[in-house]
Amino acid sequence: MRYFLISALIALAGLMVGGGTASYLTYNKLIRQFQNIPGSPIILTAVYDKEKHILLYTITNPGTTPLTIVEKALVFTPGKESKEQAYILSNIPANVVLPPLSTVVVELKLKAETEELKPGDVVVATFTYQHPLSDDLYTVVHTFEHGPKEQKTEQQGQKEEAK
Amino acid sequence: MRLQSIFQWGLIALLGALLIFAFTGILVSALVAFLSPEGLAFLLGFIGAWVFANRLLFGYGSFLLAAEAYLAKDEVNLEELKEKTGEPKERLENLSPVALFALWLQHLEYFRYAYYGLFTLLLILMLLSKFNLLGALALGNYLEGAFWGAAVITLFVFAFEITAGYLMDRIRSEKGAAL
Repeated sequence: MRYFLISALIALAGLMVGGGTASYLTYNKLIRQFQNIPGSPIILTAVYDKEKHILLYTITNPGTTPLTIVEKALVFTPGKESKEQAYILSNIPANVVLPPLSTVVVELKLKAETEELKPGDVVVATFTYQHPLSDDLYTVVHTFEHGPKEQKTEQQGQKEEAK
Repeated sequence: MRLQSIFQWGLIALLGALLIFAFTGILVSALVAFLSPEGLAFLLGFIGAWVFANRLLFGYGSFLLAAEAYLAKDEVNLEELKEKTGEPKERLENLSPVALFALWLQHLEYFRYAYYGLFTLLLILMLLSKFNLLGALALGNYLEGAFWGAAVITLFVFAFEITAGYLMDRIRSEKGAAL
């Protein structure tokens, strides 16, 4: 009986030491590998600012390397209510750095001296970004439709202001 | 005894060389590239613990072999046994093998205490720095590596010690009646 208990105790201690050692070494190896994986930026929300006539994009960087937005571009397509002509703005230079694991708000100016966005207007924004591991360019394309949802939030905001 | 001292001095030379490399920066980048920093911390902890545990490992190891032979075949080399107890020979006259085995185990007790004390100190340091109580989070990770290296050695010390205690009890109960 005692012999059995002693051998079980030694086996348990061995399991704990082996498991601890292996998980320590594996964890550190994995962390070091994960630290070098660049993430792809995720656009969480796009909000239209009426007064400044700009679009505000909330972009998050889920990776562990910093990303740099090099260029912005936008394609404007008018909806039924808008009298504005369709237009394209491309190669807008930008130098916005998205630090690792953080969120940044990026502005996108609409074409000057154009009407404000009406429901149904569509803005397709293209962000070109780079990561430090290579010189290649990557793009993120985001479609933003100025629609009823936006109006609702605006109404809510007005109500809050009225209160 | 001879194998034990060869191991002891070899380990001390290896640990000393590694510490000198780490202190002066020679070969460190090559070692780190070969082992990863955590692997190097593990190796340093492993060798450092073995230097202190060597006497225990060989002591309990030879005790286990001698006790097994004594229990199974009643073989015992009294001269060697007397030497292992570390007591003056005049004191050991007229003592039975059972008493000599008990004295041998008692002689190893001091080294066991010192070793477990050092291991506990390392454990406390590791926990303090790992939970940022010393304010050195960067160091804590490497102390953990050294701790796991020492834990592998401690596992063997623990296993040998607990088995030696078991065999000692068996010797007492089976051969003590012959007194």
